[in-house]
Amino acid sequence: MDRTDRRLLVRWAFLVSLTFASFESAWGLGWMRNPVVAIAIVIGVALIKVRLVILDFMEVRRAPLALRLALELWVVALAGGILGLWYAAGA
Amino acid sequence: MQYPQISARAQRFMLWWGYSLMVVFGLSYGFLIKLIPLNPATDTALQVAAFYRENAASIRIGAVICSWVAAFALPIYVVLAAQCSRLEKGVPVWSMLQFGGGMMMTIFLVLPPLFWGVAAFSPDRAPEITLIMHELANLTLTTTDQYFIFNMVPIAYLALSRRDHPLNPFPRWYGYFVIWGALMFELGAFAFIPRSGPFAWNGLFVFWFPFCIFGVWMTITMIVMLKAIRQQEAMQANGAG
Amino acid sequence: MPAEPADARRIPGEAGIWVLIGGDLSAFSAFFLVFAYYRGFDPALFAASHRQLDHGIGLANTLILLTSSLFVALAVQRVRSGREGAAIWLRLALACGGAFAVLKAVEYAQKLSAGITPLTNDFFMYYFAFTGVHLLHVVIGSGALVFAIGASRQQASAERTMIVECAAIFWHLVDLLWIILFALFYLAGGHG
Repeated sequence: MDRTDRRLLVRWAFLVSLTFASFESAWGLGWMRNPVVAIAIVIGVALIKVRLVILDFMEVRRAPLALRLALELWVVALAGGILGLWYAAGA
Repeated sequence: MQYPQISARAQRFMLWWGYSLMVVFGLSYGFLIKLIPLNPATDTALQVAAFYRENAASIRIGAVICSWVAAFALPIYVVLAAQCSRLEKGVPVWSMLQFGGGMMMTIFLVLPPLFWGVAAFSPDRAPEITLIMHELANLTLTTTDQYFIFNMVPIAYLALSRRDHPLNPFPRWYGYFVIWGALMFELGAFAFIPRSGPFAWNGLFVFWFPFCIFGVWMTITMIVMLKAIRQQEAMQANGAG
Repeated sequence: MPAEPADARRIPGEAGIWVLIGGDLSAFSAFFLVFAYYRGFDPALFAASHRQLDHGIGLANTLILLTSSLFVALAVQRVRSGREGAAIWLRLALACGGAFAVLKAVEYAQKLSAGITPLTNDFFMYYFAFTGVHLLHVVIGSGALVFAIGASRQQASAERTMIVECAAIFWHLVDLLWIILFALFYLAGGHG
């Protein structure tokens, strides 16, 4: 295990804890009283995870700026699109 | 190393032959048969029968033209097979699979206009009978994914695995593009399930995705092949090919 | 001549693979937006259907794919630095892919035996269609991993690294698409 390996391991642990956090916010007790917040957390956390997979596992963090920018914008646009459609219909 | 020579002129001719027939096919499908996009799958038998009655003449003329041109992809697949086979040693099994898949696939562009023509052939028959021919035509057009995979996987495999081959006509990105196209074509089969929405036979994923990607794929293939043939011609002229 | 800086920007894998990644991201974006859009016509039905999914299996599959992504990333590091062990990590990732597919099959079988099919309603049509297309990606990704395992045992070369990187990028795509599918189908059903 060198430094890069450890960094990947930490990243993975973080992604796993985000998974549990969003799972808890969707299915756990207490969190689900406010569906407007719950959906924002669920979609927001999912796309944060997606962004981290792109940047650190796909190694786009050090890719040419155009590629990185396109993917970052895609993440934001998708989050906006899904949440926009969701709220338009009423959470 | 000596590779079997192939005639650049014959290949170019076949590519343009296939591609121009494709354009004629698209025009008669769109303007004579008038089913771009397909009518909604929620139409009743009476609505479907009325569509064929009102457009009987133009649909039947469209069917006549498609009888001449609908197998347009065949010569394009022959050129692809010829190009692929030079990348293989011994019996060119991947190229044979590619050609077999492409050849079978052409049948499913031949059949829908044939069925639409049959539907329009007797405008006065009972509407339910016309309806079943209409459904058969539309589902034949949209759901027939069986052979694409055998056509496209060999192309992608040869494009990506023969990296340093001097005769590889495919750019790397083309190999990846073909994989993506093959994945997208698979969506068509879902047309059996719903009657409305994006997976219906006139929907985004079942009609528009495959329809547009097929057109783009054929066009890109043309450009890539013509460019490769030009380069190979130059190589042969230099005695290298 | 100055050495290339250690943090020089470079395209992961090779340029061509991003055609496939970009195409797939676009197609799946359309899937996700279609799902959110059609939910708007019947939120109550979508919420009720979402509660019929086995969210334990969904969670397990998410963790399996995340872990497989870690394994693949570790393998890439080994191939790149010429260390031993890449093939082992890739095999572990492949096993994760197999486990994912088995759980998915169990889940489909549960649904079908409970009489839930793609014809049941819009929610389940999208569920079967989108997770089905994703499962196809798992199969193709597994093929890419097998290819990478073969490459990882060859002599070190730039081409070997490129092949393993490309397989890894596709595998991470499989992971990240599932992250969103998991959120949409298993978590974001609504609580009405």
